[in-house]
Amino acid sequence: MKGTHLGEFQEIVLLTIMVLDEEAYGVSIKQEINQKTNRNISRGALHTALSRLEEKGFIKSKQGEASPERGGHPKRYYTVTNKGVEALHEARQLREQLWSRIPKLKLHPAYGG
Amino acid sequence: MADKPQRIPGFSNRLFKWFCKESIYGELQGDLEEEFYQNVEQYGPVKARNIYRNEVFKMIRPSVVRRFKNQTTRQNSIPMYINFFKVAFRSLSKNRLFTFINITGLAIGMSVALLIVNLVYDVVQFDQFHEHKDRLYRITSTPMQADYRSNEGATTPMPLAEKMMDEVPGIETVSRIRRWFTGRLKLADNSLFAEGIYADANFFDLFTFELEQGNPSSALTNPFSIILTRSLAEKLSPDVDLMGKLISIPDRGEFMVTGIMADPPSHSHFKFEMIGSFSSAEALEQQERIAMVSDDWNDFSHGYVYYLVEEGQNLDYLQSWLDIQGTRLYEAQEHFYAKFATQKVSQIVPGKNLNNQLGTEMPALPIIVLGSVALLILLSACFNYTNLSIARALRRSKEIGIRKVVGSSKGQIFSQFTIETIILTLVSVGFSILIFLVIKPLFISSIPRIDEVMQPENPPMLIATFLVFAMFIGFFAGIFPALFFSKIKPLLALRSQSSVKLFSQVNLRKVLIVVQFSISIFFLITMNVVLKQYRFTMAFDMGFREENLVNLELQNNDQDRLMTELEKIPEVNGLSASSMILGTGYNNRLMVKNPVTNDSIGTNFISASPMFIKLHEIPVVAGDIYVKRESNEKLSSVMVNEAFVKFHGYESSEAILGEQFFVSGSLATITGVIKDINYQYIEEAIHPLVLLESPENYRFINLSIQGADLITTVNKIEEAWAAVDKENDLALSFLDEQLNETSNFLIIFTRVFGFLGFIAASIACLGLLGMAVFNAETRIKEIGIRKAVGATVSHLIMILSKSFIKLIVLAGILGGALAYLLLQKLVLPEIHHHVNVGLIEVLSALFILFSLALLAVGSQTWKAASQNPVDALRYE
Repeated sequence: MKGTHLGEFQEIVLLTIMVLDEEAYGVSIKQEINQKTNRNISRGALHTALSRLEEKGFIKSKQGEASPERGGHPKRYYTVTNKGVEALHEARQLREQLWSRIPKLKLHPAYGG
Repeated sequence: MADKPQRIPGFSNRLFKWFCKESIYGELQGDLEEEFYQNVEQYGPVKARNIYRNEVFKMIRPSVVRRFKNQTTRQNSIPMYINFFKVAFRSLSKNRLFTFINITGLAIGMSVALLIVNLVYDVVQFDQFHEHKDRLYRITSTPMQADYRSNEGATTPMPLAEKMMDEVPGIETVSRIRRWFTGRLKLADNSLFAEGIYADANFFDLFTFELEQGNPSSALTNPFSIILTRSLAEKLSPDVDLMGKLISIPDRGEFMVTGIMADPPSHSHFKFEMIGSFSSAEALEQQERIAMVSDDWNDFSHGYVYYLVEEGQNLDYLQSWLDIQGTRLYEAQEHFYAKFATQKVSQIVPGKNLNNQLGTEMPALPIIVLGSVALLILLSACFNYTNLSIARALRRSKEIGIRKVVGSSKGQIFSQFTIETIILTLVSVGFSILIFLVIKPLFISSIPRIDEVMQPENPPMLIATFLVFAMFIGFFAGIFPALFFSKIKPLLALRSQSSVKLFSQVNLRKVLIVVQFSISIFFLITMNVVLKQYRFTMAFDMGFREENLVNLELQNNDQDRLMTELEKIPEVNGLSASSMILGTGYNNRLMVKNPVTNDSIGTNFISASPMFIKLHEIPVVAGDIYVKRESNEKLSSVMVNEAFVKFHGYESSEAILGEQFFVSGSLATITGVIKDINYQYIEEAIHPLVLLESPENYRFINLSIQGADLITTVNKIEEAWAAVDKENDLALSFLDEQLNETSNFLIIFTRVFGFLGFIAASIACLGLLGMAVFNAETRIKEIGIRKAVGATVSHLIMILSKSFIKLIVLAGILGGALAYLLLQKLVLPEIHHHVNVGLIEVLSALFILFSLALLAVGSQTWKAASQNPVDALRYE
């Protein structure tokens, strides 16, 4: 099970890719994360995460079209694999389990039960 | 918003392209650019560019940056290097002869260079031990008499010291040194002769000499105080502490020992065994025991003036002050003034050639010459080394090719051969140091007077300098072969195998051999010619008698008294007095005025008593010798030489007899003409000369000696001297010995050139031998085939040696021509009586070198040619 551990940031990236559905590529993933999560990540950091995820087999990529706005360089589109979806579910389940085991009184009243 | 398209930051772009992995570059670069253009829209071009640069910077991470080559190599360093070492050793020991030649050549060259480095090191060390060396100077003076050509002297009139101290600001101290503090020291029953100086009380403020016992600020204050050096104290009285004891010096007085000091170091420009306080000299002058010169502005032989400049001062105005003093102080004297100048103490050795040096002198020129020659030899040795190494490389091209094909990088090949070179160099360095240790004592003993400058010891600092120097040389000699090795193209090397002939390629090697041999021939021919000149000089007839003549320095004594004493000696059968010793050096001049034309000419003169001419058997070609003049008579008669006659336009020597000239202002008649004798060095042409009797110019007494027992005669002369002069020691020389000594430098020249020629020739021959060995081995196949087809051994030898012989002949012509031109046209004509570069000198040098070269080449080619062809061909 080691090596299939999903880091926090990697989880965000995976989720974002799923959100973006067919439109997930470098720039779009970066901008989506920047806007929605208020983090200011660099393309380099994103690349590290993407390459780790690819190594673990959670995402796969394919080359897209080039365009003049990109100086003639092609895009690379990312999609989450089944293995990746599984990992996401696992992570979510783990969270919920832990949440449910917290004694009610410790939780902040504004969030309810 | 600007309409023209914005550009991404070029530098960051290029940088990123350089370090980014190729496989992901496209994607990342595209993303960066896309965002850039969006940012330009959103934030403006400046901010967009900054964001871009930032992004590139943040791209520096392991997942993005490409793998550079280094990372793979580092993994197998250690075993790889071990292999290199093994291979290096194996390759070196397989070709022992070759390796030996290589090492020896470089070692010899380096040892010569080391010798010169040593010399330079020792010379530069002089006077560096003084704490105040940056502010320590002395005054030099040049007495100028009308148009008398004088030399600058290290001595200075002593009263200048006080005047300087009083009138020139910015000077911390001035100190006087007076030389010739000598005598027999007597203590209890011990008596020793010692030499030293008189020095001012502030001596130790200027010079950093170690005073072991005694107080430096007061040791030289009182009159009749003396400081002894440690070795003198030991010699005088090994067990008793001499501090406070009284030492008596005959004719000087009783001196109290106020200090014992360490011996002056060998690299001090002046040395002494004892120091007497200057106040003693002043007291002795009062007692009239020594010459009264400490207040004499006209004394340019006893004293030295040293001074210390205040910190941070520069004394430009000192020179102008000195210039003024030089003329003003001597205004009263006609036609005379002095030129004073300053000299930094650290520039005394090596430095200008001055008269009356207090100690050692060493002009800079010979050192530069020797240095350049040594450099030449070293370069020659290094080139040899490079040459032979490259030759070795060609043989191993197969090995290199295989290594490269298997995956060796250029860097690895380079390292491999560098290691080989380093091993060879280390061995050469060690070898060269051994050779150096052997030749150094030989060098010191064979060059007269070099021991004043060069020390036989090898201090650690020197050794350290050597090692650095040698490593440096080794590195440079080795780097070219190593570079060459690493550049060899693998496939080419594998294919060409052993048929790599060297002479059709690389003209550099041919040039090298020719240059080396030419240089060697040049040296050998020069040595021969110098030797010839030396023998010629020795045998040269100066025109006057040289044997059994002794010259005494008058040293300011009354020559009549002295001559009276000397006449009593039976072995002395003739006496005269003169102003100079015939055949040595330049001499004085006086003004001669032609009454007809009214031209005044500075003319050489010799002042001599009438006996002088008979004593030296100088031929008189016309007229008579002048008659001895009484002391109250004015000068009325002189003699001249044939050159004088010719110079003033008389048709014959008889014609000038009776003519009158103004000689130094007095009207004098020419009573006789002498033959042109070589009264100066034989290198000089014979100039017009006036002979006259002016006792005030006498400096020498000339004696003619007879009888076999020289020692007794000299003793008697000493006694006669002592009867007249108790202060100074007898200064006596034999004329023939002295004349021989003036050619001393020719001996030095011969020895040095001979030595260098030998070295250069050895290196050249070694180089040639190496080439011959290589040549023979590379052409083994060819030889084998030729033999098999029917060539004779002699035919083969000719074929193999042909190219070498051509080169050597060329070198012979070049070296010979160079030597001839340089010597015959440039150097020899400078010497008035000179030899010519003869056939013998050139041919003998050529013969020696040719034989050596033929031996080298012939031995190898013969060996190769006599081999069984089957063995050679079987190799393939």
